[in-house]
Parts: sequence; structure tokens; C-alpha cells
Amino acid sequence: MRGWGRRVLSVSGFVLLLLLWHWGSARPGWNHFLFPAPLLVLRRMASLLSGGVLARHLSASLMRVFSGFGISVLVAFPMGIALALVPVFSLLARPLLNFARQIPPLAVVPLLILGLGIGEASRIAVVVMASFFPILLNAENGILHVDRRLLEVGKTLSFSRWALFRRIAFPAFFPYFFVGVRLALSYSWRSLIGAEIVAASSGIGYMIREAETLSRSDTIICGVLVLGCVGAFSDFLLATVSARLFPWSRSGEQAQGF
Amino acid sequence: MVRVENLTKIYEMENGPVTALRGVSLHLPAGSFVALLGKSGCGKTTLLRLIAGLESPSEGEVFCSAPRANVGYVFQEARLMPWLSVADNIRFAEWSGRERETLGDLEGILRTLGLSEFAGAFPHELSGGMAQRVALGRTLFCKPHLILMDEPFGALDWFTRKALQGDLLRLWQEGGKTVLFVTHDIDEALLLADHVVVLREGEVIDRFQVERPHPRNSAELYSLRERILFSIEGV
Repeated sequence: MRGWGRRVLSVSGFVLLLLLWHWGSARPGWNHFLFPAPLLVLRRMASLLSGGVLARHLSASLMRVFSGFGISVLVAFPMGIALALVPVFSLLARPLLNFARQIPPLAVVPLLILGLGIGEASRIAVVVMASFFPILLNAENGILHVDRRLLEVGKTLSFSRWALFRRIAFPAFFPYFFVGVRLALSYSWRSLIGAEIVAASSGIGYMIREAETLSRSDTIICGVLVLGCVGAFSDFLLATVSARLFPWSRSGEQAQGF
Repeated sequence: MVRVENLTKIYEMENGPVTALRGVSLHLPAGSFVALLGKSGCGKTTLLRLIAGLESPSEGEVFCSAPRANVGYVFQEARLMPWLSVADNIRFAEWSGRERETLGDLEGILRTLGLSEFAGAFPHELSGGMAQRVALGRTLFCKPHLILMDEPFGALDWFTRKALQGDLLRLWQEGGKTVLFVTHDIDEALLLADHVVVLREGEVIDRFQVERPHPRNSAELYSLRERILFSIEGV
């Protein structure tokens, strides 16, 4: 299925859920405390938007996500390449990294607060911990999965080592790396909200926790909807970029099928 | 053009050493079209890879009068760069640092191989035959004096194979190129080559000269075909 039919089908699930919600909220016995009617949530969303509250919390969360995510890309990218290409480093670091990646980032939040204080650093550190491993592992896999047969083509054309890397290995590696970047961004969001719920004075996670103490489930639902929308939108952007840049690769196909 | 002397290749496998080639000596005169014929696993591809410098011999030596940059290789699979268009795949050798004058004419190659309309297409949009044409174009772009071809048409359907055999023959007849063509298809070897070398279990068993002019009729070469077949089978 292509074009408009595909698009209509992909949003019809949301529309159906919204209609069910609306229909259910008008029935007797509906728990309005837990799930206020969609129109009430919409009204709350409008007030959060017009008062600038949502923008303030969202920008705080975005800043943390992109800072942590950026640090992860900068560190995990070269480290992943080193893991694939430097056997000594791989032998030394792999057991440590395998151990570290089993630890849920939220489990170390208390330690991070003790070490880095209650400021931004500890929350950004949580994002780094969550987004680091998908990038690292996909960078390593990307290098390991470069098709040796393509490198042989370069050798038969008398390519230098640099040309082999720049013209064959790097373009072949990049789609794998990009899959890691997509995963990492998604993980960043998930972990950040956890960290903000535990310890923060701003951000969408904080907004949700505050709403819970005030029993404002409409605000909680607004926060959840914003999280879903921002996460889906950022993944859609990366998927589109991936499909444009790597139309031949599996990640590109998946992205096109988003 | 190419002289191979006493070439031996032994692979160290988990179950012990495996000898792929034993004491192969071969001479390819400049301008010749030599077919290397034999069953699967007889060492044809290994010999080609040793000549191309993709692997090192365990013993023996390869002497090639053409510089390495003038040796082209066409693999069994097209091995195109999936991120590059047809045109960019053909001129891929531009990144090898060679002088522009030593490289071929892209438009001419696209025209010769019937690829002009597909210059902007990407490999995943091409049929197997088209992809193999691009691979041949990539090799021709380097203006090679020696072309090593490893069963380049083996995976193609009969019609595409015939068309590409015609293209290759025409390019070789234009002169200036020596071709070493690996195949397990006796008819293909007889149709194209002026010399046929038979390999069996890593050794050169026989050499035949095909003196018929092109285009050849396989019926005329029936007796030679039978002799080659007996040689391959070892009867």
C-alpha cells in the first residue's frame, strides 16, 4: 500500500483510540480521576502551552537530552571503532563495557547525585549512560560488518589505505552507526524522564511528578503525550534522514516504512 | 604479459593444510584471451587472486609486465558500491589517485555497455545483468592492459550471458587487452577464448588452442569440446 492510503491507515489507530477514549469518558462508571475526558486534557494542554509552562519544561528536557546524546556520540563513536580495530583495547575494555551496560542508568542516579550534585550534570550523565551503548555497539558492528568483498574491489583498483577507508569502509559503516544513533536518542528520552522524576526542578519528568503530588492526572497525560510526540517526531526526523542518505540499506528501508 | 612460475598456494585450515594450487606454471602472451577451465574447487579463482595480488603465494612467483594499476579484475558478483550511482561506480577508480589521462571516457563506456539511460540509477535498482555490465565498465574505466575475470557471467540468465559475452568479445577484438577468463562452462570458453587451460585439483592438466575465427559455432568445435571434457573429467 502506498501514498495516502498508507498515511490514513497509519494515523487511524490514533484516531480510533481517541474516539474510544471520548466515547468511554461519556459512559457512567468511567474513572475521571485517572482518565479525564480528552477535551479536558486538551484544555489543560492549551493552558500549559499558553502559560509557557510546557515550553519551559520541554526546553529543559531537550537541553539535557541533546547534551547527553551529543557527549555519547563524541565518545562512543571513536571508542566503537577502536573496539573493532584495536584487539588489545577490545580485550581490555570489552568485559568492563559488558558489565557496565547491564546496569540500568537509573540505578546509579543516587550515586551520581552524591558525586555530581543535584544540578544538570547528574541528569545529563544519566542520558549519557543510556545513549552510550547503542552508539558504541553499532559503531563497532558497523566496522565489523563492512563487506570485505567491497574492500577487495578497492584493492584491485589500487586504492591507498586511506582511500579504502574513506571511499569504501566509511560509507559502508555509516548506516549501521546511524541505527545506533536512532536507538540512542530513543533511550535518552526514556532515561531522562526517569532521572527527572527522581531528582529535578524542571523538565517534563519533573512536571509529571509535580502533577502526581497535586493529583492532576490531566497534566500527567499532557506530559505523556508530549513525550510520545517529541520522541516519535525526533525518530521520524532521523528515519527520514536515514532513508535519504542510505536508501540501499536495511535501516533505510525500515526508515521508509516508518 | 603474465608469466606464472611454479605457483603453489596452501591454506592453513582448522583441519590441517589444504593445497589449492600446486606448482602451476602459465604464460599469457599480450593480446591473448585465455580461458581457465575446471570443476569447482580446482583452484581457478585462487590462481586469479594470486595474479591480481589479492593473496600471496606459498611458493612460486607471478611476473606481470603491466603495472598493477593496469590490471583489471571482474568478480563473479558485481560488487558495486551500493551508495553510488551507476556513473559513480564506473568512475570509482578516480579515487585511486591516478592521473585523469590514464582513465577512460565515462560517456563512451556508458554508451558501449548500453548503460547511458541508467547512469543515475543505483545498484539496488539494477538487474543482475545490468549490475555486471557496470562492474565491467568499472574495470574498463581503468583502461586495463590485463583483465582478470572470475566467472563474471556465471550467475546470469542465458540471454544476458550471451549479450555480455558479445560485449566482451567486441571489446577484446578492439585490441590492446589481454584477458584471463575463469569459467566452468566449456562452451563459454570455446566461444570466447583463443587458449583454454584446464585445471584439475590445483594443477594444470592440459592446454588447448582454439583456432576458429569469431563468431564461432559450437557445432564446429564439437571434437575439441569432447577432448576438453575428457581432460576435465580425467578420463
